[in-house]
Amino acid sequence: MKKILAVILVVVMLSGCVPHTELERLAIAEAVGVDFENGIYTVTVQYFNTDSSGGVTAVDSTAPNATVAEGRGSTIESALEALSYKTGRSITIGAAAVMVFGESALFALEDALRLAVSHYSGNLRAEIAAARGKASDVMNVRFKEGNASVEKLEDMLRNAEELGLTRRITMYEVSEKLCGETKSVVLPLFQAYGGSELTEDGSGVIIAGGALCTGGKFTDELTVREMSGLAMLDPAPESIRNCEMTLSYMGGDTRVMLYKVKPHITPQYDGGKLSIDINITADCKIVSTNISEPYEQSEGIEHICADEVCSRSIGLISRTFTDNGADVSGLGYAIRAHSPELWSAVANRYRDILRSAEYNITADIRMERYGVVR
Amino acid sequence: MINNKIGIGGAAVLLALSRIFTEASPLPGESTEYGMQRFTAVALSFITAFIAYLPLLLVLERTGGSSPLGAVASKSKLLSGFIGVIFSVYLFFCAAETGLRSYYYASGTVFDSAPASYFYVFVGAALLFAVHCGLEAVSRTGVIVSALFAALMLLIVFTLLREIRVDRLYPVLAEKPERLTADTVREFSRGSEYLIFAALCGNISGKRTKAVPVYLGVSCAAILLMTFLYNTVFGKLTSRLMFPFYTLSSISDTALLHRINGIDVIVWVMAGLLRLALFAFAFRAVVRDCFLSGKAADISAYVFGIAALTVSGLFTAYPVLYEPMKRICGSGIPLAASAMILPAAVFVCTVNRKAAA
Amino acid sequence: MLGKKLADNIVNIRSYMKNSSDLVIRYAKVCGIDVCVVSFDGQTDANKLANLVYRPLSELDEPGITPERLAAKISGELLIACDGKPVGTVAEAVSAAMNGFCVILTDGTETGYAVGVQGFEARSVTQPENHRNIRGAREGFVEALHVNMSLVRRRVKSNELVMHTMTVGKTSGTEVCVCSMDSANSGKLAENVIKRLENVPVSLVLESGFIQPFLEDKHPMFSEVGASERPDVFVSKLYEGRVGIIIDGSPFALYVPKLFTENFIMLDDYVEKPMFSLFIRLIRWIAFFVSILLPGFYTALANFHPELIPDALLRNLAAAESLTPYSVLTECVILDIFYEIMREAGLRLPSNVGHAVSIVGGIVIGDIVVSAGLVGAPMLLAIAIASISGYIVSDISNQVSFMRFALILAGGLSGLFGLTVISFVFCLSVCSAGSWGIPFTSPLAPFSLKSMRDTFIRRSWRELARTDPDIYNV
Repeated sequence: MKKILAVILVVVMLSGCVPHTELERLAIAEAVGVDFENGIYTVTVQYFNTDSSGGVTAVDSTAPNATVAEGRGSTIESALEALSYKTGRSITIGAAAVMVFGESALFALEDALRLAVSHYSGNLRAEIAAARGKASDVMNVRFKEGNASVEKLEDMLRNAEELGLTRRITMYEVSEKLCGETKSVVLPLFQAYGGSELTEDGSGVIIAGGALCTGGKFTDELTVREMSGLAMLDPAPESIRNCEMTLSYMGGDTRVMLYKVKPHITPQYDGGKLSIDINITADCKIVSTNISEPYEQSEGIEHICADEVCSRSIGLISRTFTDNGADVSGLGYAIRAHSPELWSAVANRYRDILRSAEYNITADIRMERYGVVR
Repeated sequence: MINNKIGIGGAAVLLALSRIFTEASPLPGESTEYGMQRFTAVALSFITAFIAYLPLLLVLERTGGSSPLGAVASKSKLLSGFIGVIFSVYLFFCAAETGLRSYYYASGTVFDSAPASYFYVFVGAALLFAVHCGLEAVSRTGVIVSALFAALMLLIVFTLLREIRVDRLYPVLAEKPERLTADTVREFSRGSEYLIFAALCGNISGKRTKAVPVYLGVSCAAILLMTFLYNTVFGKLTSRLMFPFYTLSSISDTALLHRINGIDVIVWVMAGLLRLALFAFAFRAVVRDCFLSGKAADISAYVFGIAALTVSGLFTAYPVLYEPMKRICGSGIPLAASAMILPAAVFVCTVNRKAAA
Repeated sequence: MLGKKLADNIVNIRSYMKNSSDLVIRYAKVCGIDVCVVSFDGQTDANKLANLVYRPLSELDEPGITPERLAAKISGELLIACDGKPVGTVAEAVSAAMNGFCVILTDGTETGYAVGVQGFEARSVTQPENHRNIRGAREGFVEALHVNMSLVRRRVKSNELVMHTMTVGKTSGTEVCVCSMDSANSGKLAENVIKRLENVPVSLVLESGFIQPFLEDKHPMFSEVGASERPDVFVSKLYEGRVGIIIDGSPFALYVPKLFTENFIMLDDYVEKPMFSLFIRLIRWIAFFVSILLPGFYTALANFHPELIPDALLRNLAAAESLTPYSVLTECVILDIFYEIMREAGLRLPSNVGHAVSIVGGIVIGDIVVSAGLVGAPMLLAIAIASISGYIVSDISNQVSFMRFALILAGGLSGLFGLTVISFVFCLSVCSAGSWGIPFTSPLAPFSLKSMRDTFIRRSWRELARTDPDIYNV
């Protein structure tokens, strides 16, 4: 037994030639931007600057903690190779937390994601976003705060989702949506301005709405209000805060928070026309208000809140389902779960049917909590 | 080599782990499809498997604690030799296929840049050590690995609770009836643990027939749970994923580890090694019962392991060699034939013996 | 055989002992008959010898008594205050004398009489050095066998405790005591142990470790023989149906069989509330796995799978590693070897020098290697945590060190795959251990739900007391 144990250990030791890259030789990509122009891909990578961190051993803790580099090539892989050559480091995208696609590169979304998803080290929880104009502009925005820019981008997306301005989407969720019948997905849309100048508070980049990609190309741009409809039709799990919205009521602003949002979908198919009843139920809580006795006004607030939910949902539906025939909220799954026979009848012509479908939106909002101020 | 017997629990756990391994490490072309039909196919395949086991379980009572092949061999060397050859060939193919599965899994995940030869040297050394340690040690290791698998499964379920979208399930159990049979046969043909049980049941102490329903139940439940997770978390993306369970673990975000696909690798590499070792022990049992005895049978297990991995390496280099064998074994016919021939032979031999007595 | 002539017997004894200087022979005349007392210098208590042997002999006054009658009187009437046994041969006489007896030889008789007047210098019963506890006795085994036997007997005042003494080692003639509780299983086990001890070929047995290999399988790493310095732990093992072996000259008593899970169970667990026992046992298990896996995992992830490390941590690790000249694996191996050197140096040195070594090694070198940029701080931290964790399961700290080193090499050279294969090999190796009819890894593998009541969790005494523990039922 000892001999066999020794043989195994020797085998392990002899195989020291299993190729690997030392940690310090890696460029650990934190954010990746992809652009396409004149048949050439430009991949902009924000990678970690090792000199700036490491506790007391940092070489220069005042240096920017992210370095931005660009690589060009006829494919995304060759652009990454060029980048690797340029930086002298092996680019690892396994830890990338955000991937941003420029408008012109959105047609390559599926291929790029397949590249990332198929690689065992790909971070399938990386957040995917689009950029109005070029992704490299977003990558080049720098923040004066100590953290890497990518953390700021993540924070912006998280905050925007909590405020109901967008819906974050991860790499595997995008891939899943691109497998659907309409191959449609809505990505949060960044807009950068101010180039690579340092900004105090990140005002050099904003979330400008959403980018609708259908059938492998950038189809349409959604406003922030339309994007917020996703929070109603494709809500986050019940357990977490969904979104906030500001309502005009009794001459002042009342801000409410929605949670336990759930769309109840009832499809009907009659005479070649699809009719979909969507009833959105949710609980809400007052975040801030200038109404003195809000609990006495709960019915009114519930009513106006329901109107707002319907309005936002209709905005999204008309822009995506009706105008573009794009199922961005997983409506197909709901139809199939409700009636598999109906689904088999409409699946082949789903895109056309979505365009011509009739959508009836209703909302039932219950005010459960009033906040702490009377 | 140690030749002690293993308990029912240890046997059931090993068989279940071996069966679940085939689910977690599919070969190219064995993609898991999104859809409710898979639930039906899995359930039906396990019911079929249980039916296939029934004759063996019934005749096991007649062998009085020894292995069924041993019982046949004591009556007719020719018949046992014939069955032994069939079993040996089938076991050899299954072991080579297990090596191939392990290789594809490892090279598709964490062992991507290393040459295939390193993989086979590593696995070969560990396999020889497992054969040297004996079935009992392998069984105990199986218990530990299965505990690790259970922990992994729990972690995945808890971390992905928020990602589970039950609206992706729909109330249809047979969506494409014409494909249901093919799916069921494919799932059934993956259950080559029948051979392991048939060959090794002489090494199981206690009421050994109990091991089969336990193993079938546990592995069926685990595969159904895995299918549920694929469908509800990945939806239609499932069919594009080479290793859906690995991908599940890579999106499971724990505070400490960020993603837990490292544990997934540990579980399935170990499970692959255990499965290879099981085939080696099964082969040794067949050789001992039908052909050789004593030290020669023990040595045959080592030779079997090395040969199976060598052929597996050839399959890796020349997939064209593997395809025809896969078509034959994937049809489920060899498995079904084995499930009929062995019990029939045991029945004939024991009836004759009783009559003679 | 002893002869009738005292002078011949004395000559034979001197010749047998090759005129050894520590052989003490005192002559006397009792009732006109020549008597001599044979003992070894330093093995007897002078007071006992004077009061319990010489005084009764000198006070005896029975003129005309025959030598046979005198010998009978000495053994049956005069010297009954002490242990005594007749000796019939020179070898027996010498052996008894070497064990602290004085042998009284009477001219004209063929048997001598050995009187137990042991009085050699021995360490007093003190707190055990290695197996300390918070609540519980402060008594540990010492080197003297009979003291240790009395420590055990004091804890089990029952006829169920059976002690069987025997001699092991042709040259050393070391006395060992095989202890067991009188039950069906441990009886058979005790017989087996005695049989193995009788066949121990070692001629010089100086420590329990000399006979331990003859009680275990030829397993390369783990031992199925436990060692304890604590009589209370020893007794609890006997109560569970194990067999204990106390060896003269060693403060460590052995017991068989030992299970892997016992390394994580301490006496203190039984005096704390079950909830805290569960917590601390889980901590021990975690410490064990951290100790063997952490550095190996670190090197595997840093070299091959950085994407598995959480982002913020990865940045810090990369920053720290970028400042060091060596690869992650080299750093890890150097630090681990350095730690082992420090440990070894600290163990053998006197405690005051040992502290200095710890300070120089731990603080000065530890701090300087990081600030000089030779080793990354996270690596130092990983090795330090792993090393400290290794002490929690001190009984298998050598095995832990070996496994840690092997896994560092496997992880650093072949990544997670190599780490998994080597872990599998270790797992098989542990699982293949187990002599005395009980698997070493039970009750985990094979799994026994019933035994879980005192493995990870420790049920309350009300529940534990309902059934007697039995090692063969795990």
